[in-house]
Amino acid sequence: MKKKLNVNSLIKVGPLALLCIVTGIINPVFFSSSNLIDLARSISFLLIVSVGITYVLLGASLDMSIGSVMGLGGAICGLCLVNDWPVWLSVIMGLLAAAVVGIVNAVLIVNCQIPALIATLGTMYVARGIVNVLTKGEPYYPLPDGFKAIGQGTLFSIPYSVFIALIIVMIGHFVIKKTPYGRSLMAVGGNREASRVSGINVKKILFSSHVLVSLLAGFVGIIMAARLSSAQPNAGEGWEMTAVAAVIIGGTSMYGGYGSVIGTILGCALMETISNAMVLLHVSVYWQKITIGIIMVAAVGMDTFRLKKIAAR
Amino acid sequence: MMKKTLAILLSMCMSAALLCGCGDKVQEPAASNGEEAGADQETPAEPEAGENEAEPEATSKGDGETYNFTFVSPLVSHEYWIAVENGIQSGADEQGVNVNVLGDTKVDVDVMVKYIDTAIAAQADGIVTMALSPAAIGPAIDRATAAGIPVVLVDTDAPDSTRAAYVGTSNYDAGFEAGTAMIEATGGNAKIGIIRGTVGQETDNDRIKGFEDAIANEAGMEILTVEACNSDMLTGTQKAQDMLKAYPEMNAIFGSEGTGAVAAGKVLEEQGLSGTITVIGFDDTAECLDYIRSGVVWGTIVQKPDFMGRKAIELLTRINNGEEIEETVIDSGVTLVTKDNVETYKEDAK
Repeated sequence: MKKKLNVNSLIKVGPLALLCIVTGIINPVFFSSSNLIDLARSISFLLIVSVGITYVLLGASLDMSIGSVMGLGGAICGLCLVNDWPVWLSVIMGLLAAAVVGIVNAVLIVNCQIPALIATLGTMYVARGIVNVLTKGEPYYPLPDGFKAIGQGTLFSIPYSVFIALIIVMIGHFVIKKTPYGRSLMAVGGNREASRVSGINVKKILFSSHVLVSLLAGFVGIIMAARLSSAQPNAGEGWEMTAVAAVIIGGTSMYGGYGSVIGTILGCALMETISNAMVLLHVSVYWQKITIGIIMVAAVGMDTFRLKKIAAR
Repeated sequence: MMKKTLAILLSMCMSAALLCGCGDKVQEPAASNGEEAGADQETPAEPEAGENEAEPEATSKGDGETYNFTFVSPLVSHEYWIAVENGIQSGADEQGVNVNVLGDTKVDVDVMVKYIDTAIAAQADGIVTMALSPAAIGPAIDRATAAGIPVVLVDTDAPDSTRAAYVGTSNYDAGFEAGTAMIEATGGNAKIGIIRGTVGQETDNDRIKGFEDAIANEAGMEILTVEACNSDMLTGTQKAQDMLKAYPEMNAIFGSEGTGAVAAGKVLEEQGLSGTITVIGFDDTAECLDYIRSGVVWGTIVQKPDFMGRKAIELLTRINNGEEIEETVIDSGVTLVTKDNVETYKEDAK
């Protein structure tokens, strides 16, 4: 059983590996350590928030507000920083703001029974609106050096964000696979009614997953502001689509109950590697979107085809 | 199946509704800058609605009544458009008119058309906007003109439409200036990477076209690649990193909108490459100016948003007063900001 699982996940790496090898052969710079570090950093940002999205999708819910929450987390943190608040307090304020959006999302979806798509689209606009009202369109800048270190500091020349992402991934994976909470989340996503009947506190599970994704999104927003030395008002715009796409490419079902954090790593790696490879392969900017779309569909298609073959056996 | 389709339709309607709500909300704090704007900005055309209906050319009124103009901004949360808006507000204060601001927080030509139609329906006395895409905005401008509402365009022109006047520098000319500056900065020898905003935005297209034409006759100038950063700072830094890897011979970067040069500056500073690569950008964000001071960015092309806004309001007021505008295309010019004039250019522009 264990062995079969490993073979399966190896096949899943296929499209990504193929892309890396082809890019590396055409332009060896791809495998240079500095490019890999750049790439790892890009992946780490997307990965942190995608772990949260994985949880939400596993519970058969959805969150479209994460992009705006990223902007909000960064902006609130930046606002505190430019008013000379200490770094730790500013970070906590940014996280708190993100958590508030998460709680609102959860109340709307879980308690008020508003469809997740609509509720989070609403908070997406409201959160971005708050950012715009606060920043009036101008980035919070300059930010103190102590804060910038979060996004720009390195350990063995690897950015902190990569380590942070690794830790979050490990915890995220462990919770899903090894804890009662993770099993309950899977069950809720698989069949909400059956889970409720069998005594799982469905509301609590869904509530927590929505707060979690907002916290992670706010956290990425803060790291992003530190990385860019400024809290940009449009930070995170469009990330909800990228993150949801990455998670689904990683094999997590949009209908809940099935998926993994490990798959999400692959999905995020594929998304960011495509964008890196496009430039290294000198693909014209006008053709990039077409290429990205084809690779995405091909990656998911290969996986679906493989699963069907297994099922047919 | 039916139910699903219905649900999707419904959700689309709701998100559209949310979109309007959002746009309206955002403009409030900005619009309330103008002292007298607050009172009747919600219903801009109410007092003279009847008169407007009776006589489409509402140029004759004005005895004691203030004009209500509408500014349809392509992007209410952007520094550049806020500068235009501020220019419009100070213009409104000077002329003693009211200005209502409509706009969204992301660039979307359909939303702009919708807001222009809103202004027409509200029977504004005049509209200030920009022709994000002349093909799409043009018909809306024509509808306004047909309803007797003069339209003054700022920043980006739609010469084939019936707009009353245009204030701005063509993006082509601004791009040409950037190209000329690049030749000056690099001594005519540059392998250039361009970071643009989004693919297919005409503003970017025109600037890059101007840039290309400026360097066309220089044998030593070559454009290696064009990448799009979607006006997102993080994407911009990632593109800049990737470009440095993909084109080791690259020694110059041109950012055709506000994000590119700053993003490139961040990467160059981080990798200790400041000064080895000549960066020229657009717009004078605080960060960009700091990079110019520290020598990371060589220079930036600055349009005159404040002037554009004030001039547009002045023109609309004159048109409403029944004056003939003899010059309908007004060149606001650009400024090249480098280390030499970074502290003084704002004063010089006035």
